Amino acid sequence: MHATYWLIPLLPLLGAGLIGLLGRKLGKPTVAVLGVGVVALAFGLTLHAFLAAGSAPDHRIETLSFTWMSTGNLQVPMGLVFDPLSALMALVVTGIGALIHLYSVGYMWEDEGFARYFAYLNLFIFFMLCLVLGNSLPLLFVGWEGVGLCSYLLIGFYFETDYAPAAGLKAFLTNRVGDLGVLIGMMALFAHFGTLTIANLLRQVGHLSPEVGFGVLTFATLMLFVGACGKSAQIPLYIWLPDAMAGPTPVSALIHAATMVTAGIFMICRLAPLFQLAPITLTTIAWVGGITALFAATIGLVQRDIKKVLAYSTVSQLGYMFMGLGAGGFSAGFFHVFTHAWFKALLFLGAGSVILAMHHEQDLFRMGGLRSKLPITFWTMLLATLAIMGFPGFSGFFSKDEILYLAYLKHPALWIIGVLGACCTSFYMWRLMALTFWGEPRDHHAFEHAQESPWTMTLPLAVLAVGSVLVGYLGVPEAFGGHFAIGRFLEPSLTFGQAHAHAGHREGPAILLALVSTVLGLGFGLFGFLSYRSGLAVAEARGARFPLLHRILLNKYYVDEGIELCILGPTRALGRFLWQVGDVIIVDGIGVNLPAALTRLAGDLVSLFQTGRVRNYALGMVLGTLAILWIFFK
Amino acid sequence: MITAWMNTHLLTFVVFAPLVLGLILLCLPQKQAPMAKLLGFLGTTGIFIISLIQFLHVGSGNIYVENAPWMALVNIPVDYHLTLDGLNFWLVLLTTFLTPLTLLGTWNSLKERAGLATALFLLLETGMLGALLAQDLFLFYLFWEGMLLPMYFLIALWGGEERRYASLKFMLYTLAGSLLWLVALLYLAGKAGSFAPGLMAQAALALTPSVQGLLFLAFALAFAIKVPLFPLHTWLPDAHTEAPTMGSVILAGVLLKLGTYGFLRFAVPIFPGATHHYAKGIALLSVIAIIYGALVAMAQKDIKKLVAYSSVSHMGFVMLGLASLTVIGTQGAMLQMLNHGISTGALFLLVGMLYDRAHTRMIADFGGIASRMPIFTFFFVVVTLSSIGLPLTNGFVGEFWILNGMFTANFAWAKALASVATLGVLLGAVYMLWMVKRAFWGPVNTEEHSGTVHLVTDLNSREIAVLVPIVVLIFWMGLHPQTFTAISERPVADLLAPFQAPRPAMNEGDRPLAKLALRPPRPPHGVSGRNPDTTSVQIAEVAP
Amino acid sequence: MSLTPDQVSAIMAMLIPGVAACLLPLAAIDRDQATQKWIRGAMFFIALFALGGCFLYVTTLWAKGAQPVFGSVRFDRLAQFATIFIVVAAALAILQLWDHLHQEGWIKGETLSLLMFSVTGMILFSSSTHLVVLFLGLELLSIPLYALTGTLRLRHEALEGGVKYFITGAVASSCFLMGSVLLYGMTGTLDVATMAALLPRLGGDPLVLIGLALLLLGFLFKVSAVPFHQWTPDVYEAAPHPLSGFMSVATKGAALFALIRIFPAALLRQSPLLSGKVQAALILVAALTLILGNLTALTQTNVKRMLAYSSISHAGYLLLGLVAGTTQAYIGMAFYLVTYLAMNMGAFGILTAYGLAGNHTTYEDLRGLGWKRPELGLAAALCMFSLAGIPPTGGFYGKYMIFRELIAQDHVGLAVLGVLASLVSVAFYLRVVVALFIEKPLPSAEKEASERPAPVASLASGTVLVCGILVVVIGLFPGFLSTNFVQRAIQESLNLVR
Repeated sequence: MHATYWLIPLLPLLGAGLIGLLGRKLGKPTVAVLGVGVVALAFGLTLHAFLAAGSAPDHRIETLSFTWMSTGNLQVPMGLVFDPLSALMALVVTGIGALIHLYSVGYMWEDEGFARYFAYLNLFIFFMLCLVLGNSLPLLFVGWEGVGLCSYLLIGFYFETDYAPAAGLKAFLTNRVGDLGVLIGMMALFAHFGTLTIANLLRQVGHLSPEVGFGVLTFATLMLFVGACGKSAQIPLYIWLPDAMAGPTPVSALIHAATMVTAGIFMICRLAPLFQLAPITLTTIAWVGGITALFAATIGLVQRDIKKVLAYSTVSQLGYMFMGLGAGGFSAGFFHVFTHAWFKALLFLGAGSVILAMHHEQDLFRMGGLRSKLPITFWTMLLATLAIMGFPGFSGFFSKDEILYLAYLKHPALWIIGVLGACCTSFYMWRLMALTFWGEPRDHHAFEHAQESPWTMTLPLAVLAVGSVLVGYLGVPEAFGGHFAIGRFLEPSLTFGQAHAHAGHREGPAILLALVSTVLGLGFGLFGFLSYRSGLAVAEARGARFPLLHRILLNKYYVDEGIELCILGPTRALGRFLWQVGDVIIVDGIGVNLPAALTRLAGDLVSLFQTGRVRNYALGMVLGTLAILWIFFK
Repeated sequence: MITAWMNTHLLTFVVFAPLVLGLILLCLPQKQAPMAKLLGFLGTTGIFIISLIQFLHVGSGNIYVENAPWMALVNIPVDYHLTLDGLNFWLVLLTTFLTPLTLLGTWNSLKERAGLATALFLLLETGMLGALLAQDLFLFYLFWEGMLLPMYFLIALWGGEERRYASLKFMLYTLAGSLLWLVALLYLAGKAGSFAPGLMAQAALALTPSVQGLLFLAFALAFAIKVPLFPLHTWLPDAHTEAPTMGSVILAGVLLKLGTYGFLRFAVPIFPGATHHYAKGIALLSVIAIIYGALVAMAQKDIKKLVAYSSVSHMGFVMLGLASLTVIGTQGAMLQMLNHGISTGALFLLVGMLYDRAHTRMIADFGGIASRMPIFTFFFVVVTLSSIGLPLTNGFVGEFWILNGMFTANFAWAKALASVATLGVLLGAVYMLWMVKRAFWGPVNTEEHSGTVHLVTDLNSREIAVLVPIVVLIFWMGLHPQTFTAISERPVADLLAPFQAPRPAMNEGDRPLAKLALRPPRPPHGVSGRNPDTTSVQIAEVAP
Repeated sequence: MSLTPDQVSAIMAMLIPGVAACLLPLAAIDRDQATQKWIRGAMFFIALFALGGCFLYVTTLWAKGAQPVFGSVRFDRLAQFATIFIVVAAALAILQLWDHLHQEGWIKGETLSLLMFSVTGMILFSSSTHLVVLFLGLELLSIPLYALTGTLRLRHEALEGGVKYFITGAVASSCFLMGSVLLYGMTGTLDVATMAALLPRLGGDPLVLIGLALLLLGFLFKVSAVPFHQWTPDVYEAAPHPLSGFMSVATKGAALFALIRIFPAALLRQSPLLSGKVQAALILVAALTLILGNLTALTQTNVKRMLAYSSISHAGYLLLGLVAGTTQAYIGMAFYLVTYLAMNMGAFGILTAYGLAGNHTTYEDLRGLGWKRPELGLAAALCMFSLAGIPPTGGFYGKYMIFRELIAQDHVGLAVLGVLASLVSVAFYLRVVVALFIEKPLPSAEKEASERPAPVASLASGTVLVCGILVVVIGLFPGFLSTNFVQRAIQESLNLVR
C-alpha cells in the first residue's frame, strides 16, 4: 500500500512530462483535464496518506525506495515520510494546488502557452512535494532548488517580454544565494553527524555533547536560515518576491503566496529539534522576521500595482511566521503558514479575476467601483481581507494573535513591531479594497467591459473563502479557551521525542494584548478605507505632506538600487577586470607572451653574431679555442 | 579466430581500431568526404558498442589487463601494459561514446576537407584511449603526446580567425609542461629501473622529501596545464574558441580529463607524501580557479568563450575533489569528470549548432532565440541546468560530493575552502542563466548583423538524435550516480588508504613524509611492473 | 702478405667510391644534347651503382660480424655502421641531386665525382685511429665539399660560401694537424690506441692539453658546434639543397663517429683527469650550441638557413651524449644520428621535391604547397615534428635516450636546458608546417604557378616519402633499430678497441 504513495509526487511529474512533450498535440481541453486531474488525484492520495499517518504508531509512515547517492560514508536513500507536518503541508500543496490549477484553466485559456504553463505548474507541484515529503536533506534540497527552477520558469513565462525573464533571473539567483546557505548547512551537519537523513539527524541531536555540538548546530542552523531567508523572502533576500509578480497571477497565488515561499518555515519546522538547541539562531530568526514584517508592510502602504501590494503583504506575513518560529512557537508559525495559504491565495486569485476583468490592468489608481460588476470576487476578497487583517473570528485572527503573544513572551519590542506591522497590514488591505471596489470607476472604458469570471475561476474563490474563514478554528489558542489543537497535532513531528517544542510556561496578559492589537488593527483598517473610499484626493494630499517619506516608500527604500550599486555592479566589474587584466595582461601577457617575445629578442640578439665576415668567424673560433684551453688549464 | 584474438587483445583493438580506420580515411580522396564521414561514424559507433558490451564484464569486479614487454631502450624496459579498471572504466567509455556522437553532431559544420578532419579525429581518439588505458608511464607519455598533433591540426586547419596563435599556444603550453615532466619521469625511471608506477612509487620512497616534492611538482605541472588549473589555464579559452566544434567538444569532453586522471592514476600513488604535502595548495588553487573562472566567464561576450571559461571553473571542482584526499571528494571528482564531459561537451555541440545557423556566437547578436527555436531552447536549457548543478541532474551530485569531501578533508581551512567553493555554484548559475536570458529570452533581436533572424530552422532529427542520449545520461547520472561510481569505489579507497591515517603534521616537512613513506601505496592495479608471461587477458580480482 | 676475404671486402668498400669518383669525370665529355642526356643518366647510375657496391660489401661484413683490422684502419662494426650511414645519406643526396640540378639547369660530372671523393674521405675518417690517416680522411672529405659548395657558381652566394668554408675549414684542419703533431711529440706515436696508454703518465702536461684542444677543435668544426659553427648557415644556404642536406647529415655523422672512436674510446679512456677536462669543455660547447642554435633558428626567414641552425642545435643534443659519456649514451647518439639522417634529408629534400630552386626557399615560397601534394606535405610535416622531437616520431627517441643518460649521470640541469631548447625549436619547425598547410599562397606565387606547371621531381619526392616513412617506422619500432644495429655497432666495436 505504501508504495502507491510514490504516486503522490510522481503523478504531477507524469503530467508535466506528458503535457510538456506532447504539448500542443493534445489540445487545450485534454491538457486542462490532465493538468488538473493529476493534482487532484495526488490530493486524494495525500488525504489517504494523511489519515494513515494519523492512525500509524508514532504518527509517521516512511516509504523507502532505491539509494540515491552512496559513496564513502555518505548514504542518501530516496524516501518519502508522512508525518503530521509533512502530510498537512502536502495537503495544502495538493489541495490549494488543485484549486489553483482549476482556476488557471480559466485564467490562461486564451494564452497560446497554455500547455507549457500547465507543464511548468505540474512540475512545480512535483518538486514542492519532494521538498515536503522528502526524508533526507538532499531530497528536500531537490525540491528546494526544483521549486526555484519552476518559479524561474513561471515568472519568466512571458519570455518574449523584457521584464519577465529579468524578474525570473532575479528570483532564481536570489534563491541560489540562499541555497548556498542550505548547502553549507548540509555539509556542516554531515561533517558532524555523518548522516543527512532527517530522522537520523534528529535522533542524534538528542544525545549531543554540548561543548562540541552546539557550536556546529548554531553555525549549521544559521546557514539553513540563510536559505530560508532566500526561499521565504526575508530581509535581505526578499527583493525577488515583488518582481516575481511578473508571472501569471495564479502562479503568484500558488508559488509566491501559498506554497513555495513558505518552504523556509516548513524546513525550520522540519528540523525544529535542531533549531531548539541553537538559541542564538532562534533570536536571529525572530528579529529578522519581525523587522521584515514591519518593513515590507510599510512599503505595501503606497504601492499602486495591486499585485505588488499583495506581494509586500506576503513578505510581511512571512515575517510574522518567522517571528513566531523565532519565538519558539514552531506550531504557531506553521499554523500561520496554514491559514495564510488560504486567504493569501484567495486574495491573489481575486486580484487575478479583477485584473482579467480589467483587461490586464493592474494599477489600483485606474480601477474603482467594481463592487457591482464582480460580486463574487468582491465578497470573497472581502472575507479574505477580514481574515488577513485579523478580524476576530476569522482565521488570520487566531494564528496572528498566537504569534504576537509568543513574540511578546520573547521580547516586548517584538510585539510592538508586530502590532505596528498588523496596523499597516489592515491599512493597505483596506486601501486596496477601497480603491478596487468602491468609489468612482477611474478607467471607464475598461469598466464598461468588465464582467465576472467563468466558474472555473469563481469556484476556487468560493472554496478558498470558506477556508479562510474557518480554518482558524483548528488552532484556537488556550487564551480563548481553545486548546490549540493544531499545535498538539503537529507535536510529534516538531518535537521528535525531544524536549517540548515551545517551553510553554505561559503567562502574560494574553487577552489584553489580543484586544490592543485587534482594536488598533481595526482602527487602521477603517482609516485606510475612509481615506481611499472616495478616490485619490486624500491620498495625494497626504503624499504631498510628507514628500520625502512618500518617495522613499514608493521606491521601496531604494534597496534594489543599493544592491545593484554595491554588489552586482562591482561583481561584473571584477569579472571584466580579471579577464582583461588578470588573464590578458598578467597571465597571458607577462606569463606567456612575454617569455616568447624575450626568446625571440634573444634570437635577434645572438643572430647579430652572424656577421657574414670570415674574419669574425675566425675570431669566434679563436675565442672558442681559448675558452676550451682556459677550461683545460683551470 | 578473429573472435579469439579479440578476446585476448580487446584493449589493443579498442585503442588501435580508430587509428587504423583513421589511416584508411586518410587515404581516401578528398572528394569522398561524405563517405569518409559515414565510415568514421559507423566505425566509431561499432567501437563504442563493442567496448560497451565487452566492458560490462568489468562491472562484476574484473579487470582487463594486457601486459607484454615492448622494448628496452637504454637499459630501461618499457612494457606494453594496458589495463582497464575502476579508475578509467567510465572515462574510456565516455571517449568511445563521445566520438561518434560528436561526428554525428558536427556532420555539416565542416565545409572543406571534412574527410581529413574525421581522420584526424579518429587518430585523436586513439591517443586518448591509449593514454587512459596505459599503465606504463612511458607508454602513457607517448599517447599523451600523441594526442597533441591531431588536436593541433584540428585547431590550426579548421579554426577561427586566431587559429594560428591559438594552435601554437596550445602546442607550446602543453609541451612546456610535459617536457619538464619528462625530465622528472626519466629521473625517477632511472632510479626505479622501470616505468611501472608501482616500482616507481617504491623508488620514490627512497628519495629525500625535497626531491620527492620537486618530482611531484614536475608531474603536477604537466597535469595541471592539461586540466587546466589556475593560473595555467589561459591556453584553454583560445583553443576552445578557435577550435572547430568537434575539437572543442572532445577537448572539453575528454582531453582535459586526462590531466585530472593523471593526478589520480600516477601523481597521487607515486608520491603519497608529496601529495599530502601539496594538497592544501592545490585545493587553494582549485578554489581560485572555480571563482576566477566563473567571474571571467561572466564577463564574456562570446558564448563559446563563456563555456570555455565555465570549464575552467568546473575542472576546478574536479581538482578540489581530488585535493580533498577523501573518498567522497575523489568519487565526486570521478563523477564530475564524466559530468563535465557530458554537459560541457553538449554545450559546445549546441553552440556549434547555433553557429552553423547564425554564423555568430556573440551574445549581443542574439536575443529571443526561444521564439525561433523552441526545441533547441529546450535542450540548451536542460544542459544548462545540468551544468549549473541543479539537483536530479548529474551536475549536482558531483559538486555535492566534492564539496562534502572537501568539507570533511582533514587539513586546516578545509571547511572554509569548501564554503567558499560553494560560491562557484552560485556564480555558475549567474553566468549561464544570465547568458540564457540575454540570448534566448526577450523579444527577437532584429538589428542588423543580428544572429537570431538567421535562425530559420529548428533542430533537425539528426541533431535531436545526438542530444537525446545526452539528456538521458544527464538525468541518469543525476538519479543513480552509483551506476557510474560504484566501480571506482574500491580502487579509490585503496588509492587513498595512505591518507586516511591520523593526519601527520606536514608543516615541518621531512619526518612526516618519511612517516607516510613507511606506508607504500598499493600500485594502482593488480598487476604491477612487468610480468612478461601475462600477455593474454587475465580476469583478475581488482583487489589485492 | 695475403689479405683475408674480410679485409678484402673492407678495402673494396673503401675503394669503390674512390674509384667511381675517379671514373666519373671521364664520362663527363661534352657532346650534343641527345647523348648528353644519356651520359648524365649514366653518371648518376655509376655513382649510385658504386654506392650500392660499397653498401653490399659492408652489409656482408656486418652480416658475418667480421671486424677486419689492417694497419691503422679498423673496419669494425662502428666503422661499418658509419659507412652504411654515409652511403645511404650520399645515395639520398644523389637522388635528390638529379632533380635539383635539373631545376637549376646545371649538370656537370664533377659534382658527383667530388661527392664520391668526399664519401671516401668520410669512410676513412670514421674508420681509423691513426692520426695521419684521420687527417687524410679529414682533408679528403673536406676539400671536395668546399668545391661542392660552389657548384652552382652562377649564384653569387655559391662562391662566397665556398670560399668562407674553405678558409675556415683550412684553419680547422691546420689546428687538427697541429694538435696531432703536439700529441705525437709528447707521446711518440700517431696511433691513438697506443697513445691512450701513454697519456696518463704525462698527466696534465700543457702541451698535451693544447694538443687535445686543437684536435677537439678539428672535430667540433666539422660537427659545427658553437663557436665553430658560423660557416654553417652561409655554406648550407649556398650549396645545392641536397648537398646541404648531405653535409649536415654525413659530415656531422662521420665527425661524431670519429669523435666517439678517438676521444672517449681511446685517448681519454685511461686518464680520468683529461676526460674530466674534456667533458667540462664539452658541457660548455654543448650548452652554447643548444642555446645559440635554437635561438637563432627562431629568427630566420629562409628555410635553408633555419635548417642550418637547426642542424647546429642538433649537434648540441648529440654533444650532450658525449657529455654523458656512457656506452648507452653513445648508442643514443648513433640512434639519434640515424633518425637525423632520415628527418634532415627529408627536410632538405622537400625544397627540391617542391622545386624551390635558387633563393626561393623562404617560408613565403612554401606557402600553401602542402595541399598541392598532400603526401609530400605530410612527409614534410612528419620530418619537422621528428626534428622537434615530438613522439611518436623517431626524433623523440634519440633525445629520450641521450637525456635519459644525461640525467642518469646527474646532469639534470643540462637536461632541462635541452628540453627547453627543444621547446623553442618546436616554434620554428611548426613554422614550416604552418607555411605548408595553414597559410594561403601569395597571389604572386599563385600566378606564377598557373603560368608554369610545378616541376615534377619524382626522385626527390620519392626520397622525401621514404624519409617520412622511415621517421614513423623508427618511431613505432625503436627497439628494433637500437637492439639489432646501434647497440651492436657501438658495444662490440668499443670492446674491440679496449
